[in-house]
Amino acid sequence: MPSFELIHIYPSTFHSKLLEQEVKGLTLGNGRIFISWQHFEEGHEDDDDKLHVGLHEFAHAMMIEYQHFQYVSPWKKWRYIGERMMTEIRTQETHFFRKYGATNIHEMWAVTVETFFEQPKEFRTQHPDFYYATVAMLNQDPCARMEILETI
Amino acid sequence: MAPAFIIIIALIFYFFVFPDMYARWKNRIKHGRKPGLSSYELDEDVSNAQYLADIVNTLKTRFPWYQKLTTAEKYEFANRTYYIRKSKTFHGMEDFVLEDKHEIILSATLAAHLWSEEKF
Ligand SMILES: [Zn+2]
Repeated sequence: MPSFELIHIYPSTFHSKLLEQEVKGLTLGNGRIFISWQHFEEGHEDDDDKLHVGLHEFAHAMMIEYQHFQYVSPWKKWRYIGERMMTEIRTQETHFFRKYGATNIHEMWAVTVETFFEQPKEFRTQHPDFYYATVAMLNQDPCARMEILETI
Repeated sequence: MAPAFIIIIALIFYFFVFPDMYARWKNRIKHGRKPGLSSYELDEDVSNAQYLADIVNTLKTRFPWYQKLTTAEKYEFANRTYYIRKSKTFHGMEDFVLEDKHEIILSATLAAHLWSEEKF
């Protein structure tokens, strides 16, 4: 992602003037990513809790880099299913994805990327069509990789 | 005059800008996962060898995703982490003391995210 050259690391949460609140991470269209190391490390150490501020912010950065995926063919299908998932999060008591994903399609994308890397098998089992739509977006299939390794 | 100008701009976007964006996306992979160096070369001098060795050591101990790769992929992944680390500027904010491991783990996370990308 050549547009994102600067990565700022804070010890913990920090105040965002833009959002007027304390945040764990932030990605700006001017090529800057801001991350709380404490929260990055917590997400990194526990690698299957579906929480990873680094993956989350890099997902936002990817979306900005590719101009909100407006010219990316797999996006149309991904967005269609993603919006269905957002409705599911808002209306159902229990849901696979974090509630924060229902904020908007940008957050749904970032939350999905976190889940994709942290719990790929559960993701594929619960929502196979959405999992494969994400495979098409990121052009990699962590489940297939794990299955190949298990056979070696 | 104005409508003609708008039509010319629209044609430029239709024939040149949009297809190029699409092609960039569509062709973003395939070559990226080939083992070995792709869009960059490593310098041979000792300091860079040490720089790469530090990356490999940190990946081995602190990055579980790395352990799931084949030997050829590990080589590719370490080189991508190296390239990303070199191409980004890291800033420690407030009183955060930036260490090598911070830069390496952040770069490796980005490398994992963009594993299929040709331009990472
Ligand atoms: Zn977000």
